[in-house]
Amino acid sequence: MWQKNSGKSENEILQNLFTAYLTTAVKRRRNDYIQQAARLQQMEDVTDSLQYNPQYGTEEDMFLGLPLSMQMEDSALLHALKEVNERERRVFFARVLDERSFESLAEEMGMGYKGVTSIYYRTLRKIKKKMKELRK
Amino acid sequence: MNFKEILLRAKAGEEPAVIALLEMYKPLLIKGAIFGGRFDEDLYQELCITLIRCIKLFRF
Repeated sequence: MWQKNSGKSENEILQNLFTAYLTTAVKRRRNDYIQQAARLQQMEDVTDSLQYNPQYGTEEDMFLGLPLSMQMEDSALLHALKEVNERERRVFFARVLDERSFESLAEEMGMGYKGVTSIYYRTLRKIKKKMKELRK
Repeated sequence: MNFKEILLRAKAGEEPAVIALLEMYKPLLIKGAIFGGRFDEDLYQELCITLIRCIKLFRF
């Protein structure tokens, strides 16, 4: 069972396919894990240096003081957000985080209501697709 | 028992077959779990879960 397989019979081909599949999955999970560990480390470093800063009273204040990218716990989401362009990101954040209406956004950006909504829904689709790919 | 049979049984959720695959791929998982010059147990655990997910998701 443990000897190197020659990849000739159907069974051995199948095993090789599975091994390749698994190797890729393992590599991805490993990269994710390493990134997560790095981000945690980074966060620790930041909180260490903020320890004596009276400006940040509670843990929550300190958390909100971090750059947005470090507040995110979901690395797939973070990667997806890096993929979309600046304008799409702006609309997405304004809508999701600031809970702005499409009308006020359209006015601010000098676009029509339809333009803003289509940017928003396109961005959502892009992010969902990207996250699905990354989660595989 | 050949590989295909083990994989099919594992896919069907038979525990002994899943364990057989875990044992078979243990070296690969251990190798993947070495991080920063040492064996990372948490990562190993994550990779074991990855294997189990792969068994479910693999299509042939």
